[in-house]
This record gives sequence, C-alpha cells and structure tokens, in this order.
Amino acid sequence: MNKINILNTILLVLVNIPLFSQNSSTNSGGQIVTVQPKIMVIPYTKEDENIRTVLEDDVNKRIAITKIKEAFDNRGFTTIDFETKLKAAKDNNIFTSDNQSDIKSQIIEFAAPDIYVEAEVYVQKKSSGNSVKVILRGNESSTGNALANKVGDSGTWYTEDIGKLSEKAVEQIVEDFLNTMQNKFTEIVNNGKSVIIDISFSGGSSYDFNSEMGDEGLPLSDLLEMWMEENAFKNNYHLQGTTSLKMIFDDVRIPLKDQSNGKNYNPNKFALLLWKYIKSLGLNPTKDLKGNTIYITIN
Amino acid sequence: MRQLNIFILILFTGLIACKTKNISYPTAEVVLLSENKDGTITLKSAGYGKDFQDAVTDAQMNAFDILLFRGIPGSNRFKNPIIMDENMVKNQHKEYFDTFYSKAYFNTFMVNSVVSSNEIHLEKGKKVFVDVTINTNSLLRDLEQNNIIRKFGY
Repeated sequence: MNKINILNTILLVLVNIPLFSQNSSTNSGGQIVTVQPKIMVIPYTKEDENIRTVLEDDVNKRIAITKIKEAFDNRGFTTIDFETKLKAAKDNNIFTSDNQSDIKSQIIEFAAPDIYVEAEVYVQKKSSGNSVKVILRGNESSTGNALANKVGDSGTWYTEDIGKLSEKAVEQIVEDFLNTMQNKFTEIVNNGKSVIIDISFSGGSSYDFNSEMGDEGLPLSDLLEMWMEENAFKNNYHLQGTTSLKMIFDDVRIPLKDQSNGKNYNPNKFALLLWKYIKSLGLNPTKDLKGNTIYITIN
Repeated sequence: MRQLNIFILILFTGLIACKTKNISYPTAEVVLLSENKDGTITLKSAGYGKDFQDAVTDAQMNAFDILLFRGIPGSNRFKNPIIMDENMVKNQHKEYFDTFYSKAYFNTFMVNSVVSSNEIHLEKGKKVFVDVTINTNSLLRDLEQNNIIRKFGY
C-alpha cells in the first residue's frame, strides 16, 4: 500500500510538470496580446520602371506613400518600411533577376508582410490644369485576397505643385480605404484567417492520393478532405483541385486564437495538426511554411 | 349588475394596459456640413422635443446616433457606421450607452453646438436644427478604450 501511494504521488507530480517551464523573465502573468498583421506600403511600378529606384526618382510617389503610412500611424498601427527593407534586401543580395515582377515578388518574400498596400500615382498635365489620380490596392500576400481598393482624384488645378495634388488625392480616399480594410479584418477575426495548403509526394514515394488508407480503406485524398472538413475553422475551406500526386486547398480558414485556451494561433500550429494526422495514417510527412502557405510533402 | 360593471371596468383597464407600445427611432435628419483636418466633423442635425431645450438636446444626441450607427453620406471617413450592429453592441455595453446618453457623456466629445434655425412650432412640441461639431478622434479613442470597437487591426 505504501509503495502504491509513493508511486501515485510520483505520477501525480510528473503529470503536472509542463513540457516547457515559463521563463520568469518573460512571464506576463497570462496576458495575451493579439498578433497583428504585418503591413507594407509599396509603390506600383510599370514594366519599364525599376522598383528599386522608383521612389528615389519620383518625389510625388514618396509623398503619396508617406501620406498613406501617416494614415496608418494615425490609427496607431505601425507598418513595415519599404525603403528600409529594400536596402536590407540589396545588402543581402536577394535579387536574382532583373525582371520587375520577379523583383517585386522577391522584396515581398524577403520582407514577409501579411498584407501589402500598392500605391499607384498617375499625373495628368493638361492645358486646363493638372491633376493626380491615386489607386490604392490592399492584398493578402500569400493568398492574393483583395482587402480594399480605392481610387482618389485630386481634381484639376492650375498648379505645378504635383506633390500637393498627390497629397490631396491620397487624403480623399485613405480613411475610407482603411475603414474597408478594418471591415475585412473584422471578417477575419470572426471567420478566420486564410492559409493555403499544398500537399504533394516526394519523388521516391510509393503512395499517391488514390492510395487506400485508414480503417475504412478510403482514398487518401478523401481522408484528407474529411479531416479538413472537421478542422478548418467554422468548416470554411476551399479545395482548388486534386490529382494523383498533388492536392491544393487554396483557402483554408484558421482562427486567430486557439479556441481551447485563447492564445494566439498561427499557420505553423495548424500545419503541425495536419502533420500529426498524416503521420497517424502510417505515412512519413515533412512540413514547410512560407508566409501563410503550408507545404506538406509525403515521403 | 354592480359586479358586472366592475368586471367590465377591470377588463377595459386591462385592455388599455395591453396596447402596443409606440417605439420611436431617432430621425436621420443629419447632414454633413464639413469634415476637418483636425479630426472634427460638423453636422446639421434636427431635433424634436416638448420644448426648445429638449429639442436642442435631441438634435445633439441624433448627431451622435447617426454618426455611430448609420453613417454620414458624403463623409470620406464616416460614410459607413462606426458601429455595425447597433442592438447587439448597445445590449452588450448597456452601462456605457446609458452614461453616454442619459448622463450626457456625449457632451465631452462635442466641440461646438450652435442652434442654426428658428424654433419650429409643431402640433405637439418643437423642432430645431443645431450645427454640432464632434471631436471624432477622441470619440473613437474612447470607444476603443471601452472595447466598444476594435483598434485598427485584428
């Protein structure tokens, strides 16, 4: 009886020791701050313009970008500075191509914003006066989902101060633009954030998505979809397509907060859940994460 | 006979007590006069009341009501409502809105209030137009601090 009591006590102590102890230096007493999206404002560039130098060459674009960033600052929100990231990207020699569309993708990949706001400034000079149009586009980096789009017009004025006209065009729309983004954020808070899930097989794998697995011997693709049905937040997911070797869910919603404990939730945690499930089927998966895109490779 | 009369009287009183309550909603007679760079917004608002002072207070409260729950057509920043689900939010934050309206907490966000029309005599009461200037920056900060609305972001 004595030995049993000792054993029970030891077991009780072991069960209550957490896997990782909270470091006293970082212990916030349980307070949780919601992780905010990273947003970067970037200039729009045409095919013949160089995104690396477009701001240096054009003060009107710099004014437009600064006014947009000011609007975010006024809402108490800090954006990623494009020029600082550009300098860091150059210092790190990340540019592997001169193709402008590739360079833009490389900067966005390097800076890794969740959302980028692209500002296009269009100057019209006529004999009846000058005007500036500004087009603002806000998109999620990984999914391409559009969050807000607005066109601002300074109106036509007899002035050579194009910078002032840029400012006017931005001021006309930026608050409404941010309000639209905020409505989309509310939708994300309520219905989850979008992630992309790309599942494929390595070259040497003896399995494919038609392989029958699990207790009921169902095709792997169906098992995975059934799992997604149960685990996507509010059952909200979209299957782009399935072949024998690739399965892509191009929009899966995951919650911003872990529904069991209120802590911040992220794509890596969801990737781990999926990895564990595939492992439980007797397969050998690896997982990779790039922004909000989860790559699962089954070996 | 006497008992029958008493019964009819009680029945009649009961029927009157059961009549449908009139529900009144604030008027949407609020128009944008100006939207200023310093974060203030000036609205012309109609107010109704049994006397002049009641009508002025009603106009001021209407301006806030429309700004918060309906949106201001023509405004760059506030053409959509600040608070989308009026009933749910008012129920969730009863104490805040009681203080806001009944204890005139809205006055703390009202930079200026000018009666801009003559007193209009109605069959029952008065109507008046008031130009109300609201400090929207401090109003929004207060709503965020009291968790009525979310700060920009998630």
